[in-house]
Amino acid sequence: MPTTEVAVVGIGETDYSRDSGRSELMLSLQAINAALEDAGLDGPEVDGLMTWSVDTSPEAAIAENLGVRDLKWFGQINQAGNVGAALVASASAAIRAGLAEVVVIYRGVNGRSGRRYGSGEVTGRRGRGAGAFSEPFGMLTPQHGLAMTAHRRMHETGTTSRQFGMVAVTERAHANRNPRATFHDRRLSIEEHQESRFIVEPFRLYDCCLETDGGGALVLTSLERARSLKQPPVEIKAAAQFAFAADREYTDTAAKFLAPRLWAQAGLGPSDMDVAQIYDHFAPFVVFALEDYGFVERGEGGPLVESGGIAWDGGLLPVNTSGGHLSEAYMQGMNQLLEGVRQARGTSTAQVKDVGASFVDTGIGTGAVIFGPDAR
Amino acid sequence: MTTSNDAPSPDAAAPIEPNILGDRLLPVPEPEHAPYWDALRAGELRIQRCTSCDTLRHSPQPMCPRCRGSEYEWALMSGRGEVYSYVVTHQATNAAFRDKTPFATVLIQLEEGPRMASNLVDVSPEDIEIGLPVEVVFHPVTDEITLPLFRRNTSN
Repeated sequence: MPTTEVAVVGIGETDYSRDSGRSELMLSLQAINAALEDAGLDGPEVDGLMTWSVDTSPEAAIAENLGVRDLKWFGQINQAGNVGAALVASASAAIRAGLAEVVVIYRGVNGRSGRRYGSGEVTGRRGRGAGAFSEPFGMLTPQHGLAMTAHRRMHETGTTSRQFGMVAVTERAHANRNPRATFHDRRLSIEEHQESRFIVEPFRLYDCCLETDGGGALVLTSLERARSLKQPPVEIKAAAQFAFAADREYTDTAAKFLAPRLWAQAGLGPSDMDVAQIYDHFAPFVVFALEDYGFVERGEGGPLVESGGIAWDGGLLPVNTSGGHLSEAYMQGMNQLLEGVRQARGTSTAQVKDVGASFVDTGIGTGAVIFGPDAR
Repeated sequence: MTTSNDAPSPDAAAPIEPNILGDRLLPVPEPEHAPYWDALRAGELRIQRCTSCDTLRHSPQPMCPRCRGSEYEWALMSGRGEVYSYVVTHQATNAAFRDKTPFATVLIQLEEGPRMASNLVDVSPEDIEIGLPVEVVFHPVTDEITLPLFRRNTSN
C-alpha cells in the first residue's frame, strides 16, 4: 500500500484581544470557518476534529455547527497547552490510516477575559494530589516549575537574563511587522526588559507570554487531495510527540528526547531548518529548546540569541517570526503552527527567503512538526 | 521502616520568616500518603522507598519507576540537604500568597537523593544561593498538617 502523505490545506484565526466578548465555541468556529474558506472546503466535508484537552468546546458541538455529515475521527491529547504538534501527528496518522479524510485541529480560548493560566486556576491542584507536595510552598502556576528548572539551568550553563531578554526583544521586532500581533504597535528594548519587574524570579515581565482571547484552526488532508484545492499544499514532513522519559535529568527539556526521533522521521537535521517557531511560554525556554533540539550545543543558545541569531532578517535560524507567544498571542502553540505554515507558503509578515523546511515546536519537546512546500 | 536519632526534633524549629507564615495553601493528603504526613507531625521526614529495589521517590507514586514494584515503606531521612534551585515569587495571584511577596520557594536536594519543594525559614530571598547547606525543621500549620521547611545548616 502506498504511503499517504499529508498536507495542511487551510489555516484560520480570529482577532487576538484581551476581551473577545464571544464564547470560546464561537471563537473556535470563526477560526475554523476562516480555515475552511482558506482551503476552499465546506463544513460537511470535514470528517475529523481534534483539539486540546484543556479546550472547552467538544468535538460534537463543533461538528453540529459545521453540519458535519459523519464525524469519523475525533479526540484530544491530555497534557496541557503544549499538545499542538502532537495533534498534528495524530491527525496525520488518522489520515494515513484512512480513518478520516479532512481533519480540522482547532483551539478557541478566552485566556485573558476568562480562566487565566497565569492564575493557576486552570492547572492548579488546590493542594490535592501531587499539589500537596508543591503548592503549600508557593509552587502555584506553570511558571513556578519552569522558573525553577530555568534557574538551575542558568546555574549549570551560565546563560544570563540579558540573553533571555534578547529572545523577547527579537520577537517583539517580529511582532512589529505583524498587524495581527497584540504588540504590533509597541517596541521593546533590551534595557526595558532588564528593568522590567520580576514575576517569578528569574523570570521578568517580558520573559512571560501574553494571555489572550482568540481562536485558531488548521485543516489537514492527503497531499494528493491537497493538490486540487485552493492553496499550494504545505506538506507535513515529520510530526512527533513526547511526554516522558525515565532517564530525564532535571534540567533536560523534552526536546532532548524528541529531537532524535523527529530528525530521523524527516531524514533531516537541525542545520536543514530554514526557520523555526518555538513554544515561548517563557523566553528562557526558547534558548533551552535551541540547545536541546541540537541547533546549537548546550550553553550556546544564549550567545546565539544575543548575537542576533534568531532575527528574521539575517539570523542563523529565524525564530518566532510572527512575534510568538510573547508578542503576537498566547494561543498555546496554535499560532506557532499557523506561522509555520505561512513560512512554508511564503506568506509571513517576516518571511524568510526560500523556505524548504519550516520547523514548529509546540512545547519545548512535547511535540514538533516540520512543514515544507509540496516537493512536486 | 528504619529508625534513627539523626533527624532534628520538632523542638528544633527555628523562628519562621514572616513572609511565609499565615494562611498557607494547605495540602489535602491522599489516603495512601497518610504515613508521610503522620511522620511530619511526629517530627520525622520520611520518604517513600520501594521495598523491592530500595529506590527512593518523591512526590509519592503508586509504582516504582525502576522495578514496577508496588510495595513500599516510608524511610527516615537525615533531614540534611542543599538548595538545588530556587525561585522568588514577586507577583502572586493566589490569595494565600498575595500579601507575602516577595517570597522564595526552594527545591531541596536531600542528601539521600530525592528532591522536594519547600521554603527556608531563616534566609531572605536575596541571600539564597544554589548549593546552600540546609536541614529540615517541622512547621505545624494545623493539628493535622505539619510542613517540612528548611533552615541553614551551619554544623559542617
